[in-house]
Amino acid sequence: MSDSKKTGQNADEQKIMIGLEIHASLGTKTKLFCACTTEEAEPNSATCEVCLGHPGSKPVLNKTAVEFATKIALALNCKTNESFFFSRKTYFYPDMSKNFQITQYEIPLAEQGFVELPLGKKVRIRRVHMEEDPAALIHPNGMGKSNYVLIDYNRSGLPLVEIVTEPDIESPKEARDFLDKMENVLKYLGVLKGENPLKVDCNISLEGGARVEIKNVSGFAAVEKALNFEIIRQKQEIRMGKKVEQHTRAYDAETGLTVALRKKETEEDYGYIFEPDLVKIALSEKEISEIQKTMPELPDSKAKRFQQKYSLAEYDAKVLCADFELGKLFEKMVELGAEPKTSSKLLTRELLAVLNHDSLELSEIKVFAKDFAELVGLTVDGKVSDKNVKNSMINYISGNKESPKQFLEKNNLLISSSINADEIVEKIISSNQKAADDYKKGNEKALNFLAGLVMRETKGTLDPKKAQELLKSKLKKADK
Amino acid sequence: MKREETVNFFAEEAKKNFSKVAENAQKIIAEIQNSEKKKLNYIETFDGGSVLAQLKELEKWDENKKKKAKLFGVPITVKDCICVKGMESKAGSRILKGYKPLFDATVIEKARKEGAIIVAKTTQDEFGFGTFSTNTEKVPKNPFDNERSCGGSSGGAAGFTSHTKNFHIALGQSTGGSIACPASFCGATGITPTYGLVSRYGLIDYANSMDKIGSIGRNVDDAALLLETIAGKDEKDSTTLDAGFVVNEGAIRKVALVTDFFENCDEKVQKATMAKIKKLKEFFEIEEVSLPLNVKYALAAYYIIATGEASTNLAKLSGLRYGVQGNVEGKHFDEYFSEIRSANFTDEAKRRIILGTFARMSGYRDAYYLKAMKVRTKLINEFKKAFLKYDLLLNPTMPVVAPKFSEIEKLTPLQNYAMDLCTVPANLAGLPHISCNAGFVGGLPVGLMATAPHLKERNLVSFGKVMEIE
Amino acid sequence: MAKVEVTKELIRRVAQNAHLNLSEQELEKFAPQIKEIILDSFDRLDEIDAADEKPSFQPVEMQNVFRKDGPKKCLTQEEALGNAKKELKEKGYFKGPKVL
Ligand SMILES: [Mg+2]
Ligand SMILES: [Zn+2]
Repeated sequence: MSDSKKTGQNADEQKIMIGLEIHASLGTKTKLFCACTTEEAEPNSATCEVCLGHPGSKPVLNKTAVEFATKIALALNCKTNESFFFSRKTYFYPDMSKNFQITQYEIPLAEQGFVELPLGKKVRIRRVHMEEDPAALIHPNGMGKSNYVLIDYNRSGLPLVEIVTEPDIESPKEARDFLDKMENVLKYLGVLKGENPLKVDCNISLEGGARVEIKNVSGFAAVEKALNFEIIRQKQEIRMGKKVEQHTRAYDAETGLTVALRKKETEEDYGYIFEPDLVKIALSEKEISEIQKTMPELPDSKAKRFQQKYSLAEYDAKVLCADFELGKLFEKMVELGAEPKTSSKLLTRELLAVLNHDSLELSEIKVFAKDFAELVGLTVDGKVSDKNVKNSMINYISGNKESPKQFLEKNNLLISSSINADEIVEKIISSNQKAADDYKKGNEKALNFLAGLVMRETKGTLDPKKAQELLKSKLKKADK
Repeated sequence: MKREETVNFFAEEAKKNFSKVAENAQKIIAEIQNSEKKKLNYIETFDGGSVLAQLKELEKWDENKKKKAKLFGVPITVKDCICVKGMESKAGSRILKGYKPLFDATVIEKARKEGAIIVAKTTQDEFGFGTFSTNTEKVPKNPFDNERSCGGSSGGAAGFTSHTKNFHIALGQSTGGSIACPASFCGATGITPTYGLVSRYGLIDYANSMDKIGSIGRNVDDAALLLETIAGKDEKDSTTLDAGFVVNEGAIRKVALVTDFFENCDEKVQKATMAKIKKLKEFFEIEEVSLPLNVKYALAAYYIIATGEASTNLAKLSGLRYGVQGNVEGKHFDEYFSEIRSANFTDEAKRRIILGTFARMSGYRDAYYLKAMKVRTKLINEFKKAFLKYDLLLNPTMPVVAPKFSEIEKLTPLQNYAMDLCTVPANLAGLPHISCNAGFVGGLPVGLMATAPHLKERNLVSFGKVMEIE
Repeated sequence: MAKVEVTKELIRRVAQNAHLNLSEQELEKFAPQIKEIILDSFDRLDEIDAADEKPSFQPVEMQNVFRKDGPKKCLTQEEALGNAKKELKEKGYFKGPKVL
């Protein structure tokens, strides 16, 4: 951004304003307004008269959903409203069982929060509210070509929390950072459902232009791509002297482009009214603090604790806590007796490097704290070289069932004892007297040569630095 | 009224002798199936097989179960908008043709537990949209004069109650006066409870913040008995109150006639009302009270809120999953939904959808929908103030006696809405009220309505008892 | 508040929003009726000041009604689809009109 600011034309200098609307699926047992299960099921078999929108049925609010949503609001530093209520947002669409959605309008659950990004910038949260998910539509021959849709109401009525930010985000990358951070916080809370609980709508405008909404982008990488494309597109329009008008677009993941939706689809008048089948909700301060008590430690405070309790560097502590699973893994290892600093190093350097290399998420693979704790133990005892730590890790992550220790043992990569290393070094010196003499005369290369031989002899189980140190000390001794 | 004529008496006899149940039910079935009587259009749906099955089931009840049952063997008719499992329930609307609920409304569940027999669905204005039960395909005819209306929207319920000579009570429903009005026109007794006293679960909504299920009987005992069995908190309806209702006489000291409503009634109605009030003065101290805000603004607030809520309730009726369904293939949803809706709602439903959609549209909702909600607060407070002094407020139920169908046709929709002037305020404020027969004018019944504070239904029962003293 | 101008155009727009197609005759019939109701009844509320009042969303004030998060038996697929006519269901799904 700063580069283009210096060099760009008019259109490039424009400030970018991005606001996000995130729908998070809650991990309750039942739907928001009926007692249907939220678990996967055959089409239309997790339904009842309420979520099918049958005449005569009435909604009743799920208490746990309110608690989960409140946790989210508090974790995002929002102020919860003293009392709030639900509204009907009326619009016609085949995925809507009642042709209105029960959501929150005038007074949402909570308002005015923020998320602090890693570099300290705060993105303001405008509101957090609850609403019901519509049914799932299937287009048998693709969206454009199908003559009809198939509807599965199992999804109808699932509990969602909608999180709306202020337009504080200034770049697609920042949008992604925000989403990563927020997702992490929500994961800490343990209130989300299943694999991909977050769906994102993006609002983006360039200074002076109108707001363009990009609907239902799935995946944070796609959000970044869609926004990048949209910035280029809007700048191009401005360069061509066109005015960007307010409208809604859809992101096509296959082409990476955004396409304008028909005007009609974006021009709904929702005619909000109070939902008369539900009543006002007023959580007392006591109830809110009860909810607060059950909230787990969140990433920022966890990082501070790691720093203090385990004497970790600030950066390392933050990295450990930036991924819920990683932080959890770390503490489990420490609980099992692993040395904290070495554990932190193993996870933040070695493990993350391997994961990044393979574009994997920790949550996608199965790892056991016990196996890593073992590896840390070996490292601390000097029984394994850095290189073999990495190799054992690669082997472990690649899906092999062996633990790092098993791998090291099987391939004879463990340094059995330091006496063994001493013997090998002495053996190498005595059988390569010339090189030893060269080093003593000041030829540093000779030391490298000897170290290489030691490494070969030890099959790499010895750390190269350690080998050099041993050689140096032996050669000095010989001098005396 | 003689005790032998009450349903309560019948139920007690029936427990001793099951043949009474069968005999009464058979008579009702014969009445419903009589081809001449069918023309009176009280019954929307009747399923003889189901009635026989229920009879068989009841016959098996043991003494213990019977003992506690308040409605043992009592036939109940059900306004069409109340869901009965497996029985077509369409709230008088063509668009819900064929809808067979997968569940019983809570009131039906409760009535069945008390030994009631669910005999038939009764006719009504489509979704309760009307004062005369004329906004539907099957228009019920007044038992006192078949050229005239039964009133609405629970027209079939009141008409049948008044017409039948057999033991029976009707489940009705009121949003703005739909129990009191037909009770008045048909000379029956209708009780509309406090909003939230009776579960609305299974009620096909008109305007959820005002809809109330209530009862219509030949006498106050019957109506109160049915109300007693259906009242109470229901987990499935968030708006039910933590209160029940037990038939029990309340203490009424001071009563007032609402002059603003009275003055808007036609002369014949005023005369009959005054005659009855004169008699009532032997029992209560009766004064006069004015509710100037309610007489001026209740109708407007009511119609804004009612149509606003109704227009969202009716959005779901778009030809998918149940009711009238068309051919979706190749059609865009805008086209399909619009076609189904345009072809199957009556004019009155269309008008109310348009009015309600307008009142909540952005740009108008503050001035209409939200304003009406705030005005409602003022109107409720005006009632509350009056109740500081009086236990009951009285007014003629309807400003006219049952009109002829030919007269109704001439009314504009606004003139039509104005007929609800006396019943709407109590309904808008969720206040319980009763309509009892106060006499006759030219052979047509005139109703007197009493309104009580929230949850003071027992005062209405006491009042009804006094009204029944000849 | 200034009185709304209740035109045929407004009524057509409102009806469209509610997914009602009005024929020309219907529009001719409804327009004056609706105009009368809005102007002579609804607009009466202009006379009364209620700015300081809280809205009564329900006539009796109630709050905090919840359900415990415990699952109940759902309908079977057959029951759920039971009210749909056979042309409007397929392989356990409901059929609906297309969206594009
Ligand atoms: Mg939303
Ligand atoms: Zn459900």
